[in-house]
Amino acid sequence: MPSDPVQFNAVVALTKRELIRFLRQRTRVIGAAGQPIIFWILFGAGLRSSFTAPSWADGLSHPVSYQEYFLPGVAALIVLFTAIFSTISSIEDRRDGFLQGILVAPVSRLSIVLSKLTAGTLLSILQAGLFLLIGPLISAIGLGSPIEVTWSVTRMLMATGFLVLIAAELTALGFIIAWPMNSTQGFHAVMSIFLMPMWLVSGAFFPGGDSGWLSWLIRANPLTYGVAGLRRLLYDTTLPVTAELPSMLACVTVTAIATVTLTLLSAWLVSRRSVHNVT
Amino acid sequence: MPDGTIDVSAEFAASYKCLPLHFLVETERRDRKDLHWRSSATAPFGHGSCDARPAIFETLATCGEAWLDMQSSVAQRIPMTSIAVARNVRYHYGNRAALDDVTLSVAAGTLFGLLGPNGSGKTTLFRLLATLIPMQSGELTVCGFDVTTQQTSVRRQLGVTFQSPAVDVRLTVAENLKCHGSIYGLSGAMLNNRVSEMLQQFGILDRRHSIVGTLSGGLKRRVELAKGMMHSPKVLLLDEPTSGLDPRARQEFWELMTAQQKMQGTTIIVATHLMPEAELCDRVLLLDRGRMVAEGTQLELQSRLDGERLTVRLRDASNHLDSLRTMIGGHAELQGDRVTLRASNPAEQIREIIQAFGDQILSLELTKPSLEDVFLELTGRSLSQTGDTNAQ
Repeated sequence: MPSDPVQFNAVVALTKRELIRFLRQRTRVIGAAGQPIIFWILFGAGLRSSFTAPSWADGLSHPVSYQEYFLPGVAALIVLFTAIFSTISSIEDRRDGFLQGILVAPVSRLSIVLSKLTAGTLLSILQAGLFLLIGPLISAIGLGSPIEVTWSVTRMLMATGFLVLIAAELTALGFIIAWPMNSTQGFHAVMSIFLMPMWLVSGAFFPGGDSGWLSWLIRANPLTYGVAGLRRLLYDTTLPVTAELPSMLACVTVTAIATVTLTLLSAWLVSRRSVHNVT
Repeated sequence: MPDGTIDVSAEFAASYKCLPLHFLVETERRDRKDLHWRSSATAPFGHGSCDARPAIFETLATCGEAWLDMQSSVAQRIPMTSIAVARNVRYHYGNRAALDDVTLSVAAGTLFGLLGPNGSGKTTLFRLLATLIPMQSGELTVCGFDVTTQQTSVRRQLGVTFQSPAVDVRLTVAENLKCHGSIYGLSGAMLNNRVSEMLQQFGILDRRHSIVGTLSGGLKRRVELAKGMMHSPKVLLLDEPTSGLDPRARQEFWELMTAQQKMQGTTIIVATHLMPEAELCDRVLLLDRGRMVAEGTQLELQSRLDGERLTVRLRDASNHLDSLRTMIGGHAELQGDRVTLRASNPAEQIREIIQAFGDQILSLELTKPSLEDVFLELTGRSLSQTGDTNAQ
């Protein structure tokens, strides 16, 4: 019931629980941030010579290396992984019986959803934010080609704000997938055949501006607007709008609409009383 | 304005403190004569009387001008003699009936048992009470609140302990209690005090910083229970609360429970298939394949069967079964080396058995029929048997 009141105390308590749980499972922290960073270093090194920068990069004062191109995509992947790992907890909660305890409490279903989203979002922006801040320094230790991204305070704040939107969007998506599931194995299947491909065709991994059907897929993918928005926030100069790089306004609008829609959908799912919720 | 004051006897007031009162206010509108408005208010009890007028005023305020032409208003108390009331509750999983026309009433402050084998529907009834699954047919109220339309109010009255643990095994004991307390609206010093109080009461104060996953089964159950009692619920629902506990932990658990019931006046509804647990209950509802078999106090249920039970343990019991049957002239049940007989004239029958079997007898016991016997004779099935329509 989206009209339910939000109980602030309950949201804080449940969010705190999620954060404690996540941080007590070190492997999750490492898994969520580690794999994307390894991808970034390895793909960056491997694809360096075969990469042709897309047309929007022409206006920049420096050539864009693959490592630099891939940077916002890796941030999005960190957000995706963290969001997924944190929403998998709702499958565990169901299996462990914790969920039942929450469902019989006089707490609005929207508060339950919001606590999951808040926790997933906080963890995601923390990890992705740190990566965006430290990542550009990688060439300094000789692990990648030079990246000419320097952060100003304004853009850093804007990037954080935008990361919140993407993180909430992907956490809500993860939640919608996780809620009806009974096992984490099922989630891994969805991860490989839906979430990873979604990330692949978001302009995160490769530019696909004039590639026929693929370019349409990229344009229809809400995550494209998340990655593109992050990409725009990396640079001081305003990048031109191209087929694969939508305007900032489009990025914010699409991401915000997706976030709100997915959040409401999550709240609706939770509000249904069903046999599925009992173990 | 009619006099809306309701007199409440001191006795009633003492036993039903803080219960919400329901008022029925009948009103008539100029254009429609058949409209009724029902309102409820929580009345501060203890003075021997309570005023229904605020509720009537509230009704008038809510209904606006159209209702000002109130010709007759009658405030009438619908007494709350029961904490939980079920009327003709039915529940189906697909084609299978899990509950078939269950009607019951649980009095305030009592320990009420739902007894039946697996698949008897007790867990389904439990889930309906806990607002976990939607009602299909019938009526179910907890503290006067309907489980379908007033689920939040119902949830506020309930403390629930499930068969499967609902504590977070990765959090510490104190973290679990705090989290739970916050969800029920406790905060600040009140929350901290309540956590300490519960830790003390359930004897887990020294474990407050232990991760729950590292605790023994018995201790985990205590955390579970402390969690369920954090918000001082009026009604405690327990589903097979001692499954997986050793006898000692089981006994401790029930000591805590009965203390809770006596001290706080908590109403406890427990679903169980264990006879010793059912025998602790003030009243028991026997369920079998979704149907009510019988309901009453242990004594009432036992007196439904006549005679006493004679249990004889014999060497080579199966070979003697037939001769025992002839001797007693009635029904005899064999379980292992134990033969249970219905004793109509025990003194005579014991003498006969001793004469006939002599040193073949390992032991001989005369008892009142147990709830197990009641169940067995009313349904023809034993409690440890799984219902053939078993699932949930």
